[in-house]
Amino acid sequence: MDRRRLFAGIASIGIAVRVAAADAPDPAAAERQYRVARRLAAEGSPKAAEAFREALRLAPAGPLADDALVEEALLFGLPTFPDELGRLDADKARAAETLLRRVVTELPASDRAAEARFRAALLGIEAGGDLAQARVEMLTVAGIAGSPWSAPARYAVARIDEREGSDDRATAAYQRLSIDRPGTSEALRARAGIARILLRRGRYGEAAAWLQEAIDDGLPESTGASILRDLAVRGVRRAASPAWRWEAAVPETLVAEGFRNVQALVPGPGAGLLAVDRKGGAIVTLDPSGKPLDRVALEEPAAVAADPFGRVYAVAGDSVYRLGGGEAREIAALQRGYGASSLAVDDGGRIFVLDRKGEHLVRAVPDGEPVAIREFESVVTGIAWDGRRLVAVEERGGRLFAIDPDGPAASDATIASTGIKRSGSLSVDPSGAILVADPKAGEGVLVDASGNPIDRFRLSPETGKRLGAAAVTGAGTLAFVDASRGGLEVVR
Amino acid sequence: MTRAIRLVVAAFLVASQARAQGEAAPTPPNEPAAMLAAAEAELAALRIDAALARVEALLSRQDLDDERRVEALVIRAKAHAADNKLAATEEDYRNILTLRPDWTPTQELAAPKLVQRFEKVRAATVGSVQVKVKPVDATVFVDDRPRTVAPDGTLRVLAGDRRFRIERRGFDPAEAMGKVEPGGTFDLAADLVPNSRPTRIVTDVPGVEVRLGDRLLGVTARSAEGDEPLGGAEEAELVVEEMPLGPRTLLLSKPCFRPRTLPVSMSADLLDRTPVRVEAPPMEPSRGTVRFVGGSAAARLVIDGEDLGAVPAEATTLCAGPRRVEVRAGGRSVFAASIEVSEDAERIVPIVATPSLALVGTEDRPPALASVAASMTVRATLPLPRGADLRRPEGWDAVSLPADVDLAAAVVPAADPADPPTLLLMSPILRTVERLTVPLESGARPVWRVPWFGLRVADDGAVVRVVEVVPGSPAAAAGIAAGDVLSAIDGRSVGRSRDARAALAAAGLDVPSPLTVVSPGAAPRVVPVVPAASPYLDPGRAQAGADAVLAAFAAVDALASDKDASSASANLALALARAGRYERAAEVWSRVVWPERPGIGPGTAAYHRGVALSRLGQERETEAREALVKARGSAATTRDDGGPAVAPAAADHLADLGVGPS
Repeated sequence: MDRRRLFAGIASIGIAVRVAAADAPDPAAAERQYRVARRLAAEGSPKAAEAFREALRLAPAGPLADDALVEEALLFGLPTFPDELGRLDADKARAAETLLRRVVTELPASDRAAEARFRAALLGIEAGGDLAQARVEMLTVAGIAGSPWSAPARYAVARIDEREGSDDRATAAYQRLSIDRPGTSEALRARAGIARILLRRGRYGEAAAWLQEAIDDGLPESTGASILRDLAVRGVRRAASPAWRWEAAVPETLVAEGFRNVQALVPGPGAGLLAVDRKGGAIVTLDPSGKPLDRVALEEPAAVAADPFGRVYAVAGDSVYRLGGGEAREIAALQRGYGASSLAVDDGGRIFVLDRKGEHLVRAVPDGEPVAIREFESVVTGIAWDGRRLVAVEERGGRLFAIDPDGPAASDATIASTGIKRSGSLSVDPSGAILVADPKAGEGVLVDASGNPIDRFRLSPETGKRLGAAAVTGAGTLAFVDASRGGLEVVR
Repeated sequence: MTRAIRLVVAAFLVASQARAQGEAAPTPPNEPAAMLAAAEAELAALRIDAALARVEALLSRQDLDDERRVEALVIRAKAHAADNKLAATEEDYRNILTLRPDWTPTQELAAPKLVQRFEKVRAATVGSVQVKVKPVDATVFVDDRPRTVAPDGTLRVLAGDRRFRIERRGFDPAEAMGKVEPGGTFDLAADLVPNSRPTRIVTDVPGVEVRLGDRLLGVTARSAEGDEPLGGAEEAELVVEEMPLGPRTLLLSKPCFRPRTLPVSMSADLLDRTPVRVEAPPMEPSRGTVRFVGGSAAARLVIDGEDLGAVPAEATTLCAGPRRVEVRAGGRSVFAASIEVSEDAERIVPIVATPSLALVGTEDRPPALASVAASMTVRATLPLPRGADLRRPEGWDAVSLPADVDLAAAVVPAADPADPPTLLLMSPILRTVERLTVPLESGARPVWRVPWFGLRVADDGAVVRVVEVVPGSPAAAAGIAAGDVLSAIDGRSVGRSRDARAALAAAGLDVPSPLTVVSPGAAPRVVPVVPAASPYLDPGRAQAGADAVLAAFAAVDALASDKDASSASANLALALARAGRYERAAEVWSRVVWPERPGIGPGTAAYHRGVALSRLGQERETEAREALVKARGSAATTRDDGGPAVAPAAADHLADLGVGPS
């Protein structure tokens, strides 16, 4: 071996050693790096994610590997409760879930494995997720005795059951949390869960009490419990005295003006409203008092709806948009010239669009072709997701019926015949009560989830007002547009 | 000395030595008695020099009392006599008579020669005193030494100037100086003047304390068997030897009787010294009525240390005056108080069980515990154990806590004296130790029953709306309906549901609370509503030490109160479960017996017991299932009668155990 080759050989060995050293786990360095990353995360630094990744790279199987992965996922702003879902967009949710799944699969014995499994499963409840799989994972975490994630997981199981319509099972789990874990966030939220189920069953008084007690004990306002409480108390009042019913000439109150061009009004997030201003080319978000909060420009807007997580969708022209941050982002396309008159989005993120003529119902598919759901024999004037079902109303006679999007037309079920001569719109409050309005007759009827009439509204001709778009809000008030003057009026 | 004298002395000494050996226990050789015995032994063996040496050694001791000194001198006199040193013997007699003027040689030594010598010495040294004093049993002191007067009234004393003092209780003492001539006779005469009178105080009952001012004169008693019977069957007496002359007021007292005063006026009687009989007025019983409220059927009432049996449900009669009341249950004291029983008014004594507190490393109740420690009895104060880590429950094994301590507080000094000490709260019941950094909430004594109206409220704008009224509840019976506005409670307006709930929770049990309600379209009306008493299960508080305190109170109330025993036990079980002691919790739950009733009932106990059992693994799973199935089939609630239903929660637990819906 000549000297040059010898040197080359030595040099190559040296490089190999350096490479090996660079790849070798270095737990001490990883710990130092992890501390830096955590500091950056606390400061909200955009470099935090990279810092966590570096910590993981330094010791991929080290004691802080799970922490690095979970903490990096948390940078996305992960929810802790199912009630907080809907604030991540799909890309971020997927990215976070990928990190968390690595902990579950690669580091199953780590001390943050339960948390990772819980958080990953929670992201799975997001729109389009596999609820059954998420429930199994949540049950797994719930069964880990002594884990701090056991109670949140049990709450999530109950929430899934509630969403799936398994009210008894959900009530059982909620009740268990409220008894066994008193004073915890999960117990407070569980009490609100019990109240939601009671509301759907028309047991307003109990629901109001559960909600009020949970609010008094610290249930966060962000859960919307106060709005639900108001809705429940309204139910109590309505049942206690005819004087508190809309039909007892409860006066309407003008809360805002400038709504002459509003074509449709639907319940918005919280107790607010969403208005379609077709001529003005915008979707307007209103607070419960009628004050505009947000205005998103859209050409030829036709319909708007909020999903159960508070995300707002709209149809304009032949496209479906997701609204947020003052912008509209197209997420799906409809058939050319399909038009739209009504929109509904379910818990799973499925978007249903009723065509302009009220004859066709399709499901808009992101990045795909719309899927035909129904072709109606009678004209349908509105659809809405009532929390459990896709409900629709026929124009003539105001027949309310539930549509099973996964089944044939024969599986659709009549809920009630409202007696409305010519229904114009449909809206649902959080208790599942459905308002069907007949603008032409200047009247509306409110039925409960089972179709039993709860209240009725009639705009007296003497007032000189003309009923335009109308909706029941999250707090149970009736909002409508006086088409003759363009005012937004509310019946409390 | 003649041989005859020697032999007599030796024979006498041998005999007396043998007596001494048979009578007395061995004494240390340096003791005077031993030295005397040794000297006598030497003398008996006719070792004269040795005997004298021992006696001299003894007489040289400064600590020798007069009696021993006389004995030593007597031996020396015998030794000198045996050695035929009669002059020395005379000198010994002189020394003896100086110390004991009435001494005479024993008959055994009455050798004529010696007797003559002795009489000669005595005639030159001692004189006689003829004592003539009244009363005759007075004590005569000569130069401050008490002397015994012979039956014929004579007293031998050392010749010279002597000081005489005559004393007797009940008389003023008398003093006299006199010169006693050797061989002469001195007359000592005195009539003492009485200053008190023996008195026999007779009471109609025995055991009466008789006081003169602050001085206890004695307690009257029945005459002993065989004595002359007193007047009545119960009559008793106290003889006071020296009742001061003049008017006096005696105070007579006896437990359970009214105190009496007894005026007496004693006058001197030189002729009659028999006790004057004074009859006290009849002692009148003094009793009061006491009603004990609370307590359990198993609890026993102990008054002034006497077990009176079960705590009476009705008012009971006790002796008036200060009484010490104790209630014992479960083999331990659960309540103790000092009460004043009065004849005038019935006294109500609520039996509120008090847990036992042990203080470790301090003798004072720590201020942070003040709110609860005031309701506890300090059972023990103990030192801090050395080297034990009291922050861990195991560390407390080094502390000898008494068995019935319900709560222990340790004050552990900081390493740096400038830092405040650490206050640790240990629950022997829960086996937990918590560090107390903030004072426990005031009024931390837990309640086991709460008022239940059967209505629930919610905020409705600016008013509080009744949103639910339970059928059959006190609120329903009062005509309150869902939809009404609740505007005031007990005259105080309520603007928020939180305030309304707090006011309802603070209402008195079994007393009407005026609720102001406004029904739709109607004027406000005030409705008196008597709330039902609902058992209460504390959901637990986050504050450190809260569960330890709760467990302490629950432990004693479970024993001491029939009314609250089950609720107290239930709360104890909940606290045990919160502390992770599931087995013990399940055991306590099995003792909770609630009747079938709306709200809290057997289903409640079954639920919580089932949950505790389900934490104990496979072995107890069958029991857990059975309990939870029972709970699932019940209409019971938890927390209180209006609380959440246990049935759905039980169903969820059962699902975890693989049991589907029934």
